Amino acid sequence: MALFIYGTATNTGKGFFTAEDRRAFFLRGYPANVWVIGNNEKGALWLAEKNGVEKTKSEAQALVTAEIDAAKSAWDADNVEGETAEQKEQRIGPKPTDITLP
Amino acid sequence: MADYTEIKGNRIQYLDSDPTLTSATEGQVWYNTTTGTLKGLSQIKAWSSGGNMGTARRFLAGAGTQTAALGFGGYVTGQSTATEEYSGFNWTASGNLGTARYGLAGAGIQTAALAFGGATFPGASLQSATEEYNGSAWTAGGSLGTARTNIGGVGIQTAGLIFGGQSPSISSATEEYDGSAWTAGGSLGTARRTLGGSGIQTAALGFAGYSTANTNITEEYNGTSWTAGGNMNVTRLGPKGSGTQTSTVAFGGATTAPTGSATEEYDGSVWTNSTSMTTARLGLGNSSTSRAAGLAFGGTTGSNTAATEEYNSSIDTFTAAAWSSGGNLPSAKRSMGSSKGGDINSSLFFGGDNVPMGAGIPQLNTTEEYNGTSWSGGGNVGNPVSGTTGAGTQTAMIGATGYSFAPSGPPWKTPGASYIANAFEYDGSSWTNVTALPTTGVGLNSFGTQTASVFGGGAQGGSPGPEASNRSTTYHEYNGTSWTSGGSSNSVHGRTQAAAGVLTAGVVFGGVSGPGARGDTLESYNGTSWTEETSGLIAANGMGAFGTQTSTVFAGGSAAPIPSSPGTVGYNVGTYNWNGTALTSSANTASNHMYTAGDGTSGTATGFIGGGSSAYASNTTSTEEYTEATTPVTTASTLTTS
Repeated sequence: MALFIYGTATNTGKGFFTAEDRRAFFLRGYPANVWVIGNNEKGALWLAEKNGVEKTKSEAQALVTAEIDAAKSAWDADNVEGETAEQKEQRIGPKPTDITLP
Repeated sequence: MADYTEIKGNRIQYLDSDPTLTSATEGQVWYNTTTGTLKGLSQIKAWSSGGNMGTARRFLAGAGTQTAALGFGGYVTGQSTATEEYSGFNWTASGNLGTARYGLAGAGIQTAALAFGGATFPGASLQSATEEYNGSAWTAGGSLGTARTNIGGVGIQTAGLIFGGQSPSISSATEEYDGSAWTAGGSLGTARRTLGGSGIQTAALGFAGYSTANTNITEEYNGTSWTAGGNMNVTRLGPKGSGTQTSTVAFGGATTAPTGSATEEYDGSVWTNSTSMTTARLGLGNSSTSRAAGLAFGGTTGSNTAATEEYNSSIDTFTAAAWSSGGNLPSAKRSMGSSKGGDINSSLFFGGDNVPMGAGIPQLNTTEEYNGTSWSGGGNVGNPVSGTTGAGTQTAMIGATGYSFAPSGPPWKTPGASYIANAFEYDGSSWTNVTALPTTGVGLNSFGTQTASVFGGGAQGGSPGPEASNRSTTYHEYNGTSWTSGGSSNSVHGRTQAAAGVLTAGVVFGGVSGPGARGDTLESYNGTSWTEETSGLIAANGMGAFGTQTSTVFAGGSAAPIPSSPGTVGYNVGTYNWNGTALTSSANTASNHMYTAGDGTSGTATGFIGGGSSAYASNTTSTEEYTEATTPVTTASTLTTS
């Protein structure tokens, strides 16, 4: 059995995931509203209750990669005349790097 | 490998039953001979989601506690002045910073905070400005001796501390604030920027950050000088912290990737790994002075995030208040009345409208009964009615007021139309007209029983349409036979179902208070007179309510004018609990319910709201059921080999 379930769900804020959820199954959030969820009954139920859409790992990875690629492009395009590389990093943070889902 | 006896100096106790569980029991292990299980008591550490910020941003600062926090400044698409207050459930906008900036630090509490340092672009212009927040607005404080950004900052409004950062070179400088001016303190042992901090001015902690590379160094400040503490397990840039010098939790920041989720706890000498944040991020804000109750918000995951996470570390477990789906109404409706004195397993709705707001008032005469799972049809009201209200139970209640016309009367908005004074009782199967309320009315609020109820407020007298000129503070009492005058409220509470209780102990909250205005006042009724209890948390109308005078739940409605166009602007999903002393925020509803109604009980039991307008152009069949937060319970864990 696969270790994880992959899916997309919109974080609606308070109550979206609880301390009890975190104790009951593995849960990590990634860009593009992608969630990696421990593959047990409670994890699967959580995704369903959050109106989530289950994805294959490759589909989820593609969503994350697309979001990171867009963030990289935005980072490259966000330039201020006369600004040094260090100043840019202070202003908008380091350039996003690729994320590989577990 | 050492066994338990070698480590603890004694053997595991054999007990007939679990010991009394207190903080003194934490860390103990025992064998329960009755259940045949090895048990222990340990802290439960976990992150859970909080309400999303209104403005997603990075490199912001924070202050306050997990349930009363402040987030301010940061970088959106440019430097920001935005300030938001967190209630433990929702973020709401507050007064803007005077100086937009990112990379700043914060200190203090939600009603007495401090913002200092940071930078603006272009050119990463370093900021020395300090600003003080009083719960609503920022005013200028004394300027930093050295302008800098990506700093560490801790303390309170009258005793702040800044350390490290870039000015523009990486700095070891420390400055102390006394409420009006900054003076030099002892320098960090290792100059760093983008470091984390916790504690107070005379007992602070600075950890991690970037010197010539990312570090895991910890230093402790005693009000005069910095000394070395234990190194963090995870080297990183830009973690945030919550707690004191000897009891801190650190979280987030960049590790080997641009964003990290690692969480560690410090006990004054050693850092221990804890459960990771759910969403890795850098440039986040933080608040709280407690290791057991941290708060992280905003930051970047590659792009700006509005997500909030709450960290809790406790030997107690409890379940937070929550809304869950109930049975759907047979058809969507709004502006109906409800029994208000029943419970979640036995209640009803009657009357209402089934057209979008602004499309007239073609009233309904239907009754729907709820059994805690599903709705079924009851007896029809004699005359269609909307904007109405009721009191009592599913089998013994009274309804009164609302837009209702004689059967042969003209439709709503017909020039010269007049609506009728009314009252009608339900016996569990059919409605019977009874002695009419002494006045016509719409949007009144009510509570009580069929033989001892209170109806009032809203708009009384006159014809439909000129509601604005008929807003009333008058209340009427019903004894099962006739109506008499009750006390007058101090404020107008119109177009709301946000009332609950019994004749001698009622409560009403918010409602329309004037043209285009919503009230924020909560008043109580003792059977004779009204008393203003509190105000200021939120101004809303069209909410539903259930409970008693000292344990009431209010939810839904609108917190701002709803534009005359399709959309959901102005709708309120917040919930507010009144305990007889204080009004506090609770869990959000899943969907919008404007001109909703509800019923239920208080204490550990539950209630519901249902129907209402879910968007300007539509109403909803949705029913949501509320479960209160449970009292914290200390539970021992069963230890297994798996």
